[in-house]
Amino acid sequence: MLVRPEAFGELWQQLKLGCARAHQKGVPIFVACAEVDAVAASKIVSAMLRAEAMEHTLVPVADYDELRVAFRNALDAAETASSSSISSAESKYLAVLIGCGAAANLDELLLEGSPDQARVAMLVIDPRRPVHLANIDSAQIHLLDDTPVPNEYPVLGFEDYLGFVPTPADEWYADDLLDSQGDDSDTGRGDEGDIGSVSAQGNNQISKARQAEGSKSSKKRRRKKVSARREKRRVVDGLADEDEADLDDDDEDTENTREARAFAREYYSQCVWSTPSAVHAYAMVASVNKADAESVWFAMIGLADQYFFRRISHAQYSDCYRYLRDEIPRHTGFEQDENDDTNSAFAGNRFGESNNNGSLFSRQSLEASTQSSRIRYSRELHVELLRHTSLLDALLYSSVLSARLGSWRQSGRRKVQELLASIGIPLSDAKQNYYYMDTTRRESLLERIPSMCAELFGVRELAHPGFTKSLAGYSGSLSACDAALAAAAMLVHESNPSEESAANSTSSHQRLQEKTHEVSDRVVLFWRSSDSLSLRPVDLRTGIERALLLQKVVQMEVSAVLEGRRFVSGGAFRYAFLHHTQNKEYVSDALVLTRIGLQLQTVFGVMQKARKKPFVLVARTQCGKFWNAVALSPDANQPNNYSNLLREAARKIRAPVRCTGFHHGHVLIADGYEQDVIRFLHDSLA
Amino acid sequence: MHGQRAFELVQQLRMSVGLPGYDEAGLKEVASEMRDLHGVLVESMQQMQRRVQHGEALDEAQVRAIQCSTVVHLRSVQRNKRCALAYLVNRARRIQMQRWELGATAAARSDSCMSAQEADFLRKYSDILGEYCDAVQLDVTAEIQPPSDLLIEVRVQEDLGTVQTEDGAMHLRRGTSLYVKRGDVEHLIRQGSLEQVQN
Repeated sequence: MLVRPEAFGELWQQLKLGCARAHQKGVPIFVACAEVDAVAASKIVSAMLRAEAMEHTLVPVADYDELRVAFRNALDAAETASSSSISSAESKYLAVLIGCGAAANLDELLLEGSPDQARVAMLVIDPRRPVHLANIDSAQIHLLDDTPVPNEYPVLGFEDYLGFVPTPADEWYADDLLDSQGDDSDTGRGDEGDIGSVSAQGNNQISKARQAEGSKSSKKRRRKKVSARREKRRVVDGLADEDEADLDDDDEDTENTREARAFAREYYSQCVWSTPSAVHAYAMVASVNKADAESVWFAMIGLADQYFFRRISHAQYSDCYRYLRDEIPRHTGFEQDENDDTNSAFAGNRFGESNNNGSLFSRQSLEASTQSSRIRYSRELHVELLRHTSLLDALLYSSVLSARLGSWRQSGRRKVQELLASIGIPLSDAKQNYYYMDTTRRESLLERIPSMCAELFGVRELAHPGFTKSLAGYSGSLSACDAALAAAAMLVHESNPSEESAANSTSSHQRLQEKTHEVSDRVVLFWRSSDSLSLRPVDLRTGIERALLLQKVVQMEVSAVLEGRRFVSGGAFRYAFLHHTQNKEYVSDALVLTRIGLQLQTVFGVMQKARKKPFVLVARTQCGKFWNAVALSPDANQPNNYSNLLREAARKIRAPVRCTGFHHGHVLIADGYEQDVIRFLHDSLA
Repeated sequence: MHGQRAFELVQQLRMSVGLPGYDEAGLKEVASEMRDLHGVLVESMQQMQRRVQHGEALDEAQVRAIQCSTVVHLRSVQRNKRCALAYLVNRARRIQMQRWELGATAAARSDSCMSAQEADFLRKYSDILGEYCDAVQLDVTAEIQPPSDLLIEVRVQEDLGTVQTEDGAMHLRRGTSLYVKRGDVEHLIRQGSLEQVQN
């Protein structure tokens, strides 16, 4: 069931009571391990449980398979230990899911076959929408939600446990393309391919699909022919579906069921993100009076992360920002003046200014900042990591400015220098570390950069409201966005060339072991990211260094794709394969791929002639056996149904794909099938 | 030099952490050296007795040389003995400490580093300690230091499966973090299977 914000506190009291009656030994918290928002939310919930003196276990999970195994283990331990004590009807075994679970049928995924199914209560804090219909109906699932309730929900039953509604074949042009090539393999297409279970027949179909795709010159002609055939079929036998094996009940498919299925498909295609998990977690914690200054900071980091990755719109961000801003005085006891010069937070606090001794982490600043550690709201620039590098570098690699000015080109660099000259900052000053810059110049940056960018280049959305925090042991302040970027950088796999070459040389027999190895790596990365959020100077410094490096990698890849014309632009979406790149180790990570895609979308958004389209980026994973396919919407918070579309395409050509379900528009495609799946989808949606 | 091997034996123990391997060869060498020194000492004493019995007159220098040799050899034997005993006693103390810190099972796991006598000592010591705990109905080895917090945060370093505690079972999977009662996991922290997180 969906729980509205006003009932968060009451819900938690109920769950706590049920948990206490069940004498539960530790509340398991399952956290999506590749997302900073989820990491921040887990820290908030964990702090609340500590304040309640409740034992708990944090379990990072990478996909629904891992979640299922981890949940089963936790449930088994609880059942064996306290089967005698779970006797009262009100006693409930509590599990918390953060950053996962909303879009999947949790009853089917986690509870099916469990004897104590009715005695499990799940608290789900997940921003993924739409919510799986089964979760709305279930009384055991409590999902924190503040999105508007639709007038009508579709009928449950057409979707699988990940909310995937198979499309009837007559809606697929590409399906007919296969038929026109004389493919007689209509039967037996119903099974969705899994990685590692590809049949010879499947390969045969792929090669035929390749042939079909290869003859692009006659594409229009064939399309006409196919639509004529389709029309003919409709006349002869109604909307007969050739792909009968896909849908067992096609024979009985009435008009009503077709409409209901279409409605369900429409419902599940609206894949968007709602309020960040960290903000929801904070709202719940605040409603039971367990929030503190640290938890509000984590909520700000979660919000900044979702905003940076354009998962939420500016309006959503502004709503959450206002809510968190109003919470600051409650914890810090410091009422910031509305008219306070926000430049002070941006230009660095007084300790940062007085302590330009070459070290960002110094003993003097430690002592001083401890006394003044506080959270402030301020206007921030879309010039990421500015406080941790030089002004010139920050401008060159800024997500907004670099896309607008094309700063990887010589002309773009000149424009940046022109901007600096217009602001009145000498190049020598702009090249040194931000904190070593002249103080008066630094203070004027916030006002002058946005106005000059608007005047010179028409960039109007450079400033946005944000939060900063002064830290113990850290000279100057840290913005929530920079903290989120540092934590995100810590989630990216660190490359090891010897490991990579070893992975390439292994046989298919060892794939499973590699997979396990990857999983354990992700767990390590999760804890590193979590530690960096704790703002220990050492972890934070490492995170920021990695974030700076990733900024450069992203820009390098963006310029390579654009300048090398490596993308295919026609059709319903653009796509690019990152085959040959010098940053393989970074590009293999889905998070970096997403950032490259975002940057590319910004570039295309700026181009006047370019139409706004989704972008699909495909790159080989670290182990080399799979390909990450990441699809991005052209604008923030636009529906992104590409994980379902890619699964559908893969199903049609029997290509093995794997959908983690944790991210809209992200699937893993087995090596050798990546081109077929993407091209098939591209042609189908054309 | 006299006592060099015995010194090395003690030095080796002093420099090590935990319980190092039992240096049987070293102890045998020390014992052998002690026997040699004792032999020289006895020989020198007997030689002097024989000369006195035969009425041989010894000048002062000879007397001093014999006295000096006797003292040096005797002191060397005593020093070797002290070193060997220090080695054995300190090892026994470390074994006791392991029994208190890691528990009977974990302490017994390091029997490859012990001599047969030491393993026997550990077994008997565990029996005595167990009997005492039964008598007073209290695990005296748990929570040796007063805890600052009742509950602590730990991270699991290796898969341990399901572990039973007084209040129920815990599933300990590598890479997870737990906020649990200190007493439930203290022995696992000592073993190195869990790492305590300082908040």
